[in-house]
Order: sequence, then C-alpha cells, then structure tokens
Amino acid sequence: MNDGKKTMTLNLTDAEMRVLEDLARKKDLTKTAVVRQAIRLYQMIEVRLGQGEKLVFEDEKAQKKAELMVL
Amino acid sequence: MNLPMTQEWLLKMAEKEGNGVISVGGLVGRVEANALALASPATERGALAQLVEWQRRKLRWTVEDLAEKANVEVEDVLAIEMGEGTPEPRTLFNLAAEMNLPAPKLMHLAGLVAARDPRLEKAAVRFAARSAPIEALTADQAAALDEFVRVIAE
Amino acid sequence: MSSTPVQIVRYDNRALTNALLQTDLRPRVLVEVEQEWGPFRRNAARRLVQGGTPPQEVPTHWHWDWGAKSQNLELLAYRCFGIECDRKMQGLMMVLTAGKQARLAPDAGKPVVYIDYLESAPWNVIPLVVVPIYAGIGMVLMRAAIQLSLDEGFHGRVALHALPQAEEFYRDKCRMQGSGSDAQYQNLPYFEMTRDLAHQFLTT
Repeated sequence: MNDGKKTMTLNLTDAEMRVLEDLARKKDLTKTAVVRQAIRLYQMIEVRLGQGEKLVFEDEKAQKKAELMVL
Repeated sequence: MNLPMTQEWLLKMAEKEGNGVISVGGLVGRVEANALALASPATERGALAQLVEWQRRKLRWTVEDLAEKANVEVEDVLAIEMGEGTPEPRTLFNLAAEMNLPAPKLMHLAGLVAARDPRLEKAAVRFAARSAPIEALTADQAAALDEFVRVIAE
Repeated sequence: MSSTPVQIVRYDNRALTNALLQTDLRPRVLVEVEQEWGPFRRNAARRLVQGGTPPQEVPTHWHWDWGAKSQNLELLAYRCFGIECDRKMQGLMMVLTAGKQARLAPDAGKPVVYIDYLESAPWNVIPLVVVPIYAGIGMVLMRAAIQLSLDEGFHGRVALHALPQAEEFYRDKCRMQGSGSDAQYQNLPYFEMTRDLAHQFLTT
C-alpha cells in the first residue's frame, strides 16, 4: 500500500553513507528513519532560526557556548 | 495506523485509568492561554487591524457581511479593526478562511504566538506606515495591501 | 485527516462505544475543539473554586488553549491525535517525533515519541464533573502513542512530563518508569515507557 509515501534515490559519498549507517546503528533505526529524523529536525531548526531564536551548543564543564548557524 | 486492542484489554484498562486528571502539557508559564495575552507591539496590532479592514473593503463587504460569512460576532470584527482587545484564535481562523489569508500569520500579528517572526514584523511596519483612514481603497492602498498579503502568504 | 476505528467505554454502564482515532488533526480542528472544551473547563473550575474545593484539587490545566497550540502543526515533527465520538472530540494528544531522546537504560540516547500535550475532554474528568461520560481515553491515547513509536522504528518508547495531578496515572496505571522532577522543565515529573514497559502495556 502506498500510504501517501514517495520514493527517492539518494546519492551519497562513501563517507556520508558510513555516517548514515553509524547513526542508524547507534540510534537503532533504519537508514530511512534516520533520514526522516534529519528532515524533521532540519525544518524545526530552520523555522525557529527564522523566528529569531538561536541554536547553541553548551559545554557546561568548560562553561562555553557556541552558536550553530544553519543555512 | 493499525491499533489492535481487545475488548477485554480496553475494559480492564479503562477501569484501571479511573477518570482523574491525565493531562500532559506544562504549568501556566509554558502553556498558552488567552489570559496571558502576550504583548504584541502596537505596530503589529495596527497592521492586523488595517489588514482585516482593507481586505474586507477590497472584497466590498460591510462589517456585518464579513461577520456573517465568517460566523463570528460583529463586535469581534469591529474590535479587531479598531485594534482593541485580544482576538480569539477561532475568530482569526474563521476570518482568515473567509478572506483567504494565512491564519498562522494573523495569530502572530495578534500577539497570540510567543515566537517572533522578524520578517513579518518588518513587513507589518512597512504596511502600517503606508496606511491612512479613508473610505475607499486607493490604488496605492490596494498595492500596499497586495504586497503585504503576498509577503504573509509566503 | 486519516482515522482508525477504536472503542472507548461509557462511564455509566461500562458499555463499549465505537469511536474514531483521528491521527493527523489539522490546526483548525484544534481551534474548534477549544471552542467546546474551553468554556466547559473554565466554568467547571470556577464552580469548584466557588464551592470551596482546595486549590491543589482544582485541575491545573483549566486555562489551556488548544487553538494557541495549533501552530506547532506547521512542523513535520509534530502530530496531533484525537478520539472522536458522538461528534465531539473526547481526547487530544500532541506528540513530537524528533528531537527527543530516551534518558533511561537500556535505550538512553535513542529516539522517543514525546507526548507534548494530552488532555481528556473536560466532561470526562473528575472532579470537573461528578459523573463523567466516557472512560479509557488516556489508555487509548497512550496505546496510540506506543503504536506510533513502533511505526516510527522507536520500539514503543514514549516519554512525557506529567502534570503533578496526573503523576499517579502515568506512574501507577500506565506503569511508566519515572526519574523524578525535572529541573529543566518546571520541576515536573518525567516518565518514560521503555521498550519492555511498552510491551507489557500492550499485553497486560
């Protein structure tokens, strides 16, 4: 059953595929599920950045904050 | 979604649940409420008022016409066009649907949304600055309205 | 909007009643639901307060507004479910399917379905009413959250922060694992359904 889903072919470099497989293993997800997570997170980040918020990584031990910019 | 559930399971679990509070969603500080009425800069409220009025006039509707078509109270439309009070989300959704405007952007302009939208804010300032209280929509007003509507529709 | 047939239970005679689980509610529906729930909730809370009910026993979500929450649905990561019966929404649940991780062993760091908001219609909630209309709303919504987690590949993992008045439901009745008050989130109690606990919930 199609269930409203579309199929696409993804061309990745060896390094990108290794990262995708590594993430899938760590998160116990299929590679497709990892890509879906990435799309949802990317959209969320884009919308919130567009609303003026900032995305920051915080290192509590070193007491450092670094801002992540997403194009 | 496939959701297999036996009747026995459901009856047992419903009995176990009781009918107490099961709410998930945070305390007052996090949860949106009309009572909290986030402060919206006067310019954005002014832009909302102008947008609704001009779009209505462009459609050649009276306030009563718009209220009837959108199934909202006449007083609520008047309050929005005068920039008074805080409109209900339902009112904005109904008006937006009737006038073919994006409801989420109207919610932003009304101050019902916590997150800022700098692009919308700038567009609202430009729009409000070009408005003037006259009866019929001039060509300039129509152009300004069209431009603002185009921006918020993106 | 897509839907799945489910059943809920009438409180008065424990009869099973056919209902629909709506799995992708749109913002407009939330606004319309709040038109029904909001006044009922507020009036009921007001009656409790005027009747001398201690403040801690008045449901603290009386002022919620699902219409104002509806903007979240612009994002793919958010989904909203509802149980519809008698042409009214009897329960709502908004979930997040990205950006939240399990905190508890054995799957710490792995994705969860996070329940962001959940509410049973006010006429189903004691003490907002003396005699509720329907029962089982919370269990059916939790079942749906677990199923979503399975469908997403998260093995049934679900997480949430409960309102204090709802802590007993999630801890004792849903048997979720708690990790105490979360200082990062209003000191609300945090609960997780691990994959094993989810399996137990489904097979109870």
